[in-house]
Amino acid sequence: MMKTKKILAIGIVAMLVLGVGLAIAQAPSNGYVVINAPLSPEEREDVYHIPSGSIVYHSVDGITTVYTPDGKGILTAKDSEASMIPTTTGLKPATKIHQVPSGSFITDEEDFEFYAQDEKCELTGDTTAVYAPDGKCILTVIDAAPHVVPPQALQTYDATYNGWVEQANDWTVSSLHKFYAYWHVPSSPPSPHSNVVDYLFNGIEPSTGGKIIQPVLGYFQNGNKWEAHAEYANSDGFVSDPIACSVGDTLRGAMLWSTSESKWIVEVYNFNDGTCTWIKTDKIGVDNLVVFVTYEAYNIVNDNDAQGDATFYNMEFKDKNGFIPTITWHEDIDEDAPLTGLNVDIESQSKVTLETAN
Amino acid sequence: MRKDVVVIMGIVIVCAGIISVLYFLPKVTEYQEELAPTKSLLTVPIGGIQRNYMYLKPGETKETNYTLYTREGGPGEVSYKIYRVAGKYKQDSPPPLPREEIPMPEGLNVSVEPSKFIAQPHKKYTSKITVKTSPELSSDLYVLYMQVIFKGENETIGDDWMRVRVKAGPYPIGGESGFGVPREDHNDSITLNPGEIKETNYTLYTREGGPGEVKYKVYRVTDVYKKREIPMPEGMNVSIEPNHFLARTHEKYISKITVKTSSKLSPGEYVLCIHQDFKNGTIGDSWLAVNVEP
Repeated sequence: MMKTKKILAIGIVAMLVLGVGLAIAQAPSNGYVVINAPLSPEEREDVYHIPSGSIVYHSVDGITTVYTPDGKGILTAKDSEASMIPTTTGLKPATKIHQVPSGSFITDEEDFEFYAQDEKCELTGDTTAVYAPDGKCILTVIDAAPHVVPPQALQTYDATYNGWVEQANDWTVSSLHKFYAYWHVPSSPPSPHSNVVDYLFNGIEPSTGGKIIQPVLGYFQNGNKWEAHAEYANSDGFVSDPIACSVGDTLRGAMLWSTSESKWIVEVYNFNDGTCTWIKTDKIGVDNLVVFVTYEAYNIVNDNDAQGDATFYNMEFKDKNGFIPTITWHEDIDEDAPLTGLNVDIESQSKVTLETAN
Repeated sequence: MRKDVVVIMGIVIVCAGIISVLYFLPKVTEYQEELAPTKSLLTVPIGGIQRNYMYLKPGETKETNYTLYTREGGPGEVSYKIYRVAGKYKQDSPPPLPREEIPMPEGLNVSVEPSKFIAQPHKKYTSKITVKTSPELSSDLYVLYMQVIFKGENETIGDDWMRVRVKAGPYPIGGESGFGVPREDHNDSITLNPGEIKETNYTLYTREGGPGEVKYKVYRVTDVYKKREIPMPEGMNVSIEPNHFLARTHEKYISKITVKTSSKLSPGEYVLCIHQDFKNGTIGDSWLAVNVEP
């Protein structure tokens, strides 16, 4: 009788252990593990154990992924399939509850940078780090859906980019009467999306900003063509009639101050067919100026929309006294631009290359 | 030595001391005053629109984000209002930007969601700005103003502006999208003697860049426009402070580059590269030549 009771007790304990195990993590469904207990770096029965030092990432679409510190994914789970566990702030999915050792220090981690091996971009969001009493970081949780942004808000976010992708600039030009630059029409974007426009230009702005003169070369996906024009823009754009250009053509973008007329002459000249187009304007003066060479883009999504490298060479500058001013280029690349391979290669005052991945 | 000579020498030394203190003190005070706004910007609640320039064809709808960083502020109610303003829009810093409301044109609809919530300290709250246009909307540049009220937090710097360019046809206005591109400013060179310490400002004008983290790194390179790091010479130490902070749109952040040299440093030109990484702004490099005189 005693022996039977012992066997029964062992059986019950075994069933309980098995049951708890099954309850904590059910078999993966479509690659997703079903989590029924808090994710924890502790090795206890009532948690789903993950390695110490793990990074837990909650994506905006309700997927929780656990990574090793070097970015290797070790577990993926749907928050919607996880058990709901009561907490002081209501029911929460088990994927979003993290059991940590007593005495742990939980803090915001503002400077944390993390790249998953299977993702191409940095995983960012509100980041919380958990430190064990001995000071070792045992868990980091990145919540990509902080607070108030409904998931659909990010899903419908405007995916196209408009802006100055990369540029060299000098904001400290005290006076200028001449800025010439030469460049070749680069290779076209390999497979551009709808309505992509890529502009390349040298330009002059007043140091207070807000307006610009520029000889512009543009690629237009709509028509799959290269054209060049001269332009003055403030809150409106004033452009000359465009001239057609082809890949490889040599262009000169010229901005010359006419002392007799007190106006800037802005011109693009195509050496291959001898065509040119130009405007005149007195909307910008000759003192306290900024000079640029720039790649600007509209409606781009990825590298398929970017033209090839463009080198501005034999750049010539003259100040109002006829001397060559010192131009000290700074380089800037837009951190938001959705392109790779960007680089501004400044060889000298007279030669700058705007590189892309193409 | 005669007693009166000693007294005269003493007076001369004391006077020289007073003069040098009077000479340097105003500069130090002036410098601290110059840095004070930056220090304040590093602690008060701030917010900004992620992309301040939007380009649409009539009939299109686009979205961007507004993010508020509460820092020490809160808990308190935050409310947003976005409306059209008139007037010239310049990206100068500090911005003389318009706030007077004018009616929206028919066919332009702008909203921000959520526009009211309770914010807690040390949190980041993101709302969505949606700009809807009708096919009939006139091509024009519309300037929108986002007014931010964080109850109980009067020092909040959260107001922002965005430019909405509505234009039919395939030709965007060249250059316009970059009118608000961030810029940095600093001396191209400094000169000092071995054993001296020299400071110079590095100023970031965020304009339409940010909000986002800014990180700086200063290191030695072989020449201007080169980027490969080489070791600092013995006897030269360079730092930049602050070198890591959160920056918002339309502000000026001043950091201080300090070059310390020892008397053993060999004279010559040493070129430094200053690397800037500004999230939602620009990644860039610029150069500073340090001339150490014989």
